[in-house]
Amino acid sequence: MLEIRNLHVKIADEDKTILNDLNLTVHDGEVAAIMGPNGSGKSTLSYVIAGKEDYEILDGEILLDGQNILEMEADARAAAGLFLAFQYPLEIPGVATMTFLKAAMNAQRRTRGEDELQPAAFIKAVNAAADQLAISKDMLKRALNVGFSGGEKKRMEILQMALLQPKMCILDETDSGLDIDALKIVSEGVNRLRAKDRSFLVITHYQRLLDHIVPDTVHVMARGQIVKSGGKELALELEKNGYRDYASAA
Amino acid sequence: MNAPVTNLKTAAEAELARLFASQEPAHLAALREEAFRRFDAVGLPHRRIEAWHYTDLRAMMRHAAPLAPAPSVDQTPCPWSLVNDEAEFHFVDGRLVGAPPLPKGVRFTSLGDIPEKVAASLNKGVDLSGDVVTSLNTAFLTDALLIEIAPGAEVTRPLTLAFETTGATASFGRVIVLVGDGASVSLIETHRGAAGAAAQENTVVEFSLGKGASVEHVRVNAADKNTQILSTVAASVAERASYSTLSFTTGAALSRHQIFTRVHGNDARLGVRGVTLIRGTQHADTTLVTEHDALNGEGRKLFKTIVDDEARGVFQGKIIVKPHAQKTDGKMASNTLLLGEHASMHAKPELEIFADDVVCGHGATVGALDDELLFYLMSRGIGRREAEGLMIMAFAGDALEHVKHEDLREALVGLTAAWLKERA
Ligand SMILES: Nc1ncnc2c1ncn2[C@@H]1O[C@H](COP(=O)(O)OP(=O)(O)O)[C@@H](O)[C@H]1O
Ligand SMILES: [Mg+2]
Repeated sequence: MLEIRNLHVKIADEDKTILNDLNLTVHDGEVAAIMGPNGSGKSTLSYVIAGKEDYEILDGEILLDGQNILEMEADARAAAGLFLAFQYPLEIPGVATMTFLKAAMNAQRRTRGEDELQPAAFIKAVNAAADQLAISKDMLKRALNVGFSGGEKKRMEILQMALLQPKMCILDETDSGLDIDALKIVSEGVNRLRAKDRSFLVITHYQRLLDHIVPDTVHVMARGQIVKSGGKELALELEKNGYRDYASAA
Repeated sequence: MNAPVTNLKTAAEAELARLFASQEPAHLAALREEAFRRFDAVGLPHRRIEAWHYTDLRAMMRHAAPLAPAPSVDQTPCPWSLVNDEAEFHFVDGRLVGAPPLPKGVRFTSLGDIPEKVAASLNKGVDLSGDVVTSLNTAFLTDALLIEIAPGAEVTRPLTLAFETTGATASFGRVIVLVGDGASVSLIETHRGAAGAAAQENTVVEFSLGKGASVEHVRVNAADKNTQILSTVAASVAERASYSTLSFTTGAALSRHQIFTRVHGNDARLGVRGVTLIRGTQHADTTLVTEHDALNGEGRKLFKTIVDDEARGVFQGKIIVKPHAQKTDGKMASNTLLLGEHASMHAKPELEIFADDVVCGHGATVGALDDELLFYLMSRGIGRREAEGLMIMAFAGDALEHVKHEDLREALVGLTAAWLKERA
């Protein structure tokens, strides 16, 4: 369960408050969607949860299964079960995709006190997950995300999510830049991972994604706050009326 | 009239003069005498000498270590082996103590065997007479090895020059490699020393490549961190020949690695690369002068320097393109990662181009690890040090990937990983 209470965040180097008294709870097994206009602070929220260091927490707390994670480094949060699928996954030249995947899986296993994966088991797991996401062997051989198309990068994010088996998954505009086929592949990948002890925070600007990943709850974010919450019908309402009503709500 | 200059010798310079005078009469006395005079006229280079501006040897070399005695056989350590199938020449304190059974097409002669022959091949391909480090090496020459690769020979087993130092003494190694027309060979050069001993090493390796010859040279400085190393690699490259050298440096308190290359035949290819990983208070200088004196030459120079703690890196690279060396295609890049808050780097790339139809360029970057990439890796559960390690390995890998011999490349990756592990 993820609980965000009274969260106030500013950019570390600037006098610019981005999140302003944000409150949000995502229960185990729940798929929560956050919708909001560009610039409302959605990516900032995802970065702050994942532990990026460019921000200063002015007030509030973020609890993952009751534990305050704000003092933890990003890697410790990941080991605790958090995963962020980036809006813009980064290219890492010179780091082979397989090397990276193995490092990530083993690092988390070590943190949890488990043995490192046997090479054969590792390769089998990667190949199985890659098949389901239509990720080619050739992509796995390249440097991480280097030269990948936008859609390939997004599928690679879901591959990582599938392999790391997090408890709390945050997807930041995973639908942006995807054509309809890729959107289906990615959505199916996410839906396969839905489980009663795994929660999702699906951030999107458009309702389209929520046709494929059907949320339990929908929250509207504007000006760094959650300004309205409801069921999946709220997404349809937003689709019809746009964000006009919320632009000045906060 | 110039006022007479009183040349006050430093303690190290005075000691070098005393050591030179104390040497046993040996081969090539006249040659050595002349070399010492050349050194003595200018003394140890200092920061007002342009090529030594960032490495003030006069200030950094406080004393001259006593000359290493001839090694006793029972003290001889096992040579260090980076790959399995190599043929290893083993040097202890600058003297050859063991030579391998030689692959076909390879011959060697040591100074003691035929002094005149070895002497005649010194300083041939590239004129090193103006280089004070080489002059010192020649003045204190105790042993020299001449390796000849027969024309057309394809030597598949790498030849290794394994240099070991055993104590806080000075040693001077010299190797000449003559590669016949159309011959090809890989040569590994390693430097290691006894733990904790402040050895002073000065080695010169001279390559001369015949037409169409091909050489891959990899040099590994893994000397003890108290060592001072002055080293020089020279290569003269004939028509259609291909010479590539990579220096891999993790060792020594003070190191100055000089690379002098001269392309004198048309259509030649040159690859000059380096990976330097330093920490603590290490000072590592890589200085390159490459001269294109023929048509259509291709030169690729790439230097990756990783500087942690308060260590200091220096890169000086000069590409000279002579007036008739048209169609020269030369690129030089020096990329530095500063890891420590007090780490520093001085990079000075230079072009001296006298031909008009050439493509030459250089670039130098100095930066820290990218925080965004670091966050991406850490957000997958990878710890900070390991994430940094992946990025540093990738950074070094840009140069290491050019090493063609697969086991050797893997060995260098392994040495990089070992360096990274010591950071953790
Ligand atoms: N590193 C940053 N420096 C300055 N302003 C930033 C930074 N990151 C985000 N912002 C600003 O914060 C606001 C929220 O951005 P973001 O979280 O990316 O919104 P969203 O994802 O909802 O489009 C925007 O006004 C954006 O310009
Ligand atoms: Mg965003």
